[in-house]
Amino acid sequence: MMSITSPDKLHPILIGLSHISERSAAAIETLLRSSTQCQALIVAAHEAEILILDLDAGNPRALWLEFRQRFPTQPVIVLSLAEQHLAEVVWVKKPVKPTLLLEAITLVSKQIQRITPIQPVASTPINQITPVNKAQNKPNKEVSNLAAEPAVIAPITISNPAKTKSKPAPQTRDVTQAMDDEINHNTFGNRPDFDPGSKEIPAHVFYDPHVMLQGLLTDTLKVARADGKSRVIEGVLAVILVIPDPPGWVMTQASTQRIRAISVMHMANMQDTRVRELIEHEHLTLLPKIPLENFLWLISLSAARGRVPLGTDLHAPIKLERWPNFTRLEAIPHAMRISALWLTQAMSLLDTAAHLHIPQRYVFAFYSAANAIGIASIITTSTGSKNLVATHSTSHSGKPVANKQDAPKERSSFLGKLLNRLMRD
Amino acid sequence: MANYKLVFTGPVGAGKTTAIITLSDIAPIGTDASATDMTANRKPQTTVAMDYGMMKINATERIHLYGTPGQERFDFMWEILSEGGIGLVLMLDNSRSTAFQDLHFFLTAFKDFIQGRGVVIGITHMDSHPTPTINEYHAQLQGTGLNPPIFEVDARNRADMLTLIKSLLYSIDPGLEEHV
Repeated sequence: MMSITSPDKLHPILIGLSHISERSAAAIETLLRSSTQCQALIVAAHEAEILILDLDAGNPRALWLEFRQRFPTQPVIVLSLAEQHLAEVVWVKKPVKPTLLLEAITLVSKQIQRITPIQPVASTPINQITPVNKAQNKPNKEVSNLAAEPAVIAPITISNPAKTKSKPAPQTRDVTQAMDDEINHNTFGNRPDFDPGSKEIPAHVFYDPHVMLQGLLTDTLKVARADGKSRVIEGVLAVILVIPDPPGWVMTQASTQRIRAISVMHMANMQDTRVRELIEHEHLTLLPKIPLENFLWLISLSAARGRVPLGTDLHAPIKLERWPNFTRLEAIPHAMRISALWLTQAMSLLDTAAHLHIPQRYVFAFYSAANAIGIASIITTSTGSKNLVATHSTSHSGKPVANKQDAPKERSSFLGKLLNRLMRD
Repeated sequence: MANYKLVFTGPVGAGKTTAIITLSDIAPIGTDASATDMTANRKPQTTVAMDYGMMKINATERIHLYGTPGQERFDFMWEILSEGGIGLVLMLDNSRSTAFQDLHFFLTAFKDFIQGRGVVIGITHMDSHPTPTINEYHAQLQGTGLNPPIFEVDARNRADMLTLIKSLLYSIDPGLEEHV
């Protein structure tokens, strides 16, 4: 799912539509509702933070001028068949691919969060819009003035490179990569790996779950499970109802984005937080219900930001009890590879990152989330810390499960191709 | 040109046919017939021979998707359909009171097939029937030597089904690498 972050992370991004057909508007609204967890909402154009303009709805030049007169500074995403290089504009080629439109919205959302405006990158004048007729080819003073203004947002082209015949403009950025980087940065941090051989482990790889929502929820759950009574956590910018009955539920009206935001806060900054028993017949039981495991995974992942709980031995082998329920949990890059590895052989966090050639922060993030839901733990043996320990590598017959060495070469190659086919989907 | 297949199995109404429709690049071929027995209580149409779908890997290679009929009286088909399979996708319906029996029944029926290959389990209808939980399914497998991916899925949801199949590939070969 595309992650769209609103400027203050707590309120949805407000999107306005200009010259968009009723049918397209409905499609965009459905797309935003289904793909952004309601973090982007369609509103009237004058209330919008970002506008989407269909430049093919009329004479492109006239349409653009009229639009800029009405909305002189509004961040805008332009949709059109012909490539556009307009200052302050993100362009999406028609027919619009949902993923590209979401990328464009995310990119502009990110840009309107900037405190320091981006310097213009060789803005292309407005008169380079493909002329519809001869008369429109004449330079227009008003247009020139517009184009000469410093661009807050550099012109950016968003299109599907596989389907676009025209060469990308020099200013075109690798938006997908930028998006991935941004999402990864928000969720997993961006610290580089540290040298596993170094004697001192940097403090920044650890976080203390006990001073965050994760710790409060875990403690609350223990108490609730002990007496079988539901608890209400209040004063953390959200009301969270914890129901201990198996399999365990959390009920809250807070959006995923809000939960993420609360999860990174220090509880000391929320001194009015209190935990109480649920009063019988309290209306809170009407709140949306989330499986406890999914909630714990989300808040621990958000709190960890690519770190591990304080006191975790990075050199000790990790045991994974079972596959996480990946279809219902927040995604972590390489989580399936880590799971498959740890279910075959226990391995330390640092060795796992080295073995799979992946950044340590993804391994740390996965461990933190899996540990929070109780399916990953450090193996402590009397023989000391061993980096490689056989785990669940047996089948019905007790024979080792097929691995890369055992698998016929042709089949292994085919599996790789199939995997990459699935990854492209 | 490599030709491999994935086998989808499970009880009646668990979502095998839907899963194949969701994943297939071609219009799936089904052999549905009007249900006349107890199956009719669960759905009006049921698969009597097999379902077939296909995913294109590249210009020449394909993965064939075969769905077994759910009723036991068609179990002679299961062995035929399993030949050349690289893995088993077991779909279970959480709304059935016999969900654990179904789990053990199908894992036993495909015991030989699973050896040296892989198995994943997709649990459907968990939105309306949240128990038994995924943890409880895993607990059922303790002592069997199996620890497969068990995910909550909606067979109509392509992302769910793709995630399930990816986990099957990794469980068959943990050394697989993503290249995209």
